[in-house]
Amino acid sequence: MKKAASLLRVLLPSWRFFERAGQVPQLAYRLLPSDPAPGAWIPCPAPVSRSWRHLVLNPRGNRNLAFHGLVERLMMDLNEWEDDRLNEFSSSVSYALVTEMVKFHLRRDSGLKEGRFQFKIFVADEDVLLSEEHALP
Amino acid sequence: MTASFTLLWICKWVSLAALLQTLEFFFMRPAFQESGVWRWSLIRRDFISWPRWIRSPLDLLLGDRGFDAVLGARFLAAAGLLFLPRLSPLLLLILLFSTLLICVRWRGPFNGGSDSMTVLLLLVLGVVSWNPGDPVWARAALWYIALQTCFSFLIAGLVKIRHASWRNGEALQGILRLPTYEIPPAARRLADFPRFCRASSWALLLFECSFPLALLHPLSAVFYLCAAVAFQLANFYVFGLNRFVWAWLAAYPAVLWCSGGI
Repeated sequence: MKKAASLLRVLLPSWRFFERAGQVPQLAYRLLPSDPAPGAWIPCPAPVSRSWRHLVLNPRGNRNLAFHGLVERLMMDLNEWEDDRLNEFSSSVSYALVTEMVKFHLRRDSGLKEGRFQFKIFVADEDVLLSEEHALP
Repeated sequence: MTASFTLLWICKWVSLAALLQTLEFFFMRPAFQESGVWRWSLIRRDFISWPRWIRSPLDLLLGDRGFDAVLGARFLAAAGLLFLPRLSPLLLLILLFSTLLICVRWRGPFNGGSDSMTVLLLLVLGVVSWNPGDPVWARAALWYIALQTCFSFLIAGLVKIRHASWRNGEALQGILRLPTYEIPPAARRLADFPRFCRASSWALLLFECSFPLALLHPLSAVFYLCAAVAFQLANFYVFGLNRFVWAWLAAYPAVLWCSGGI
């Protein structure tokens, strides 16, 4: 039902733009090299610059907005996930999509083909989700 | 300006919006193919409990090759409507159906309100296109679009004005500091001026809440629509929301046509 409801949002607009301006969840990842110290946390997605030509076509900007939407959806799903099944959360579609998003950035922005990484989601300065270790490819 | 001519203009604008959206999707292709992020083999798990007669066509249309075909058809339909001198029910149906498929592919609206406005306009134009030349349908369609456009501002204003944080400017300061929208440094610095944020918040709240006054007279419509275009250009500069500009521009001829009609 929730999936159908999210699809119906496009047919039944609420027009409640920017009703609240609270803190938003953010994503960061770090590489896990073989030496003991993990890398620094890197914000994801990397910001893109904007100019007036993007008024006509703004594919990277809109892609980044959609990436942020993935993180927000992951947090919504996490909040609704049953407490006694939390260990299964990494099998959810939202978790898998965010994992793929980090891989996408590592491949395209860092040019990495293999390696291990971890991501976290934080709100303000508080970590709310620390992922398992994942591997490229 | 006759009702049917106004509807034709709306059709041209929404087709242009759809054409630009589709081009953006083509540029974004690596992100939604099987080697990217929004891979269908992953997203289809959301629909695993749905009946097979829905899942099979979705698999066909939303896999890599099928989705390329959907976007190609959407591009051609938008280009066709841009140049045709009339509303084509078939091309409008293709645009509407492909827009809904895009929303399925992204598990909801891809770009929030701009998708909703695009769908709303396509739905209304699609209905009218089956009754060409009927002035009652044409007038009803224009009034529906004009009222929804007014609601889009009025509701956005009413839900904000209830919150003290919007009335004292703190909400705007918070939004300007959000990392989500990649706000330019010059705009981000405005968050350091609380008086400016408070004044801007009130200007925005008054503008949004009073937007229905645009329908009272053609001059007030021109004033509010110019302000609305400026507001959406500012939204693009600050938040990068380019799709909103084009989707709402498509609806404004209806507001202009209906102004003075009360």
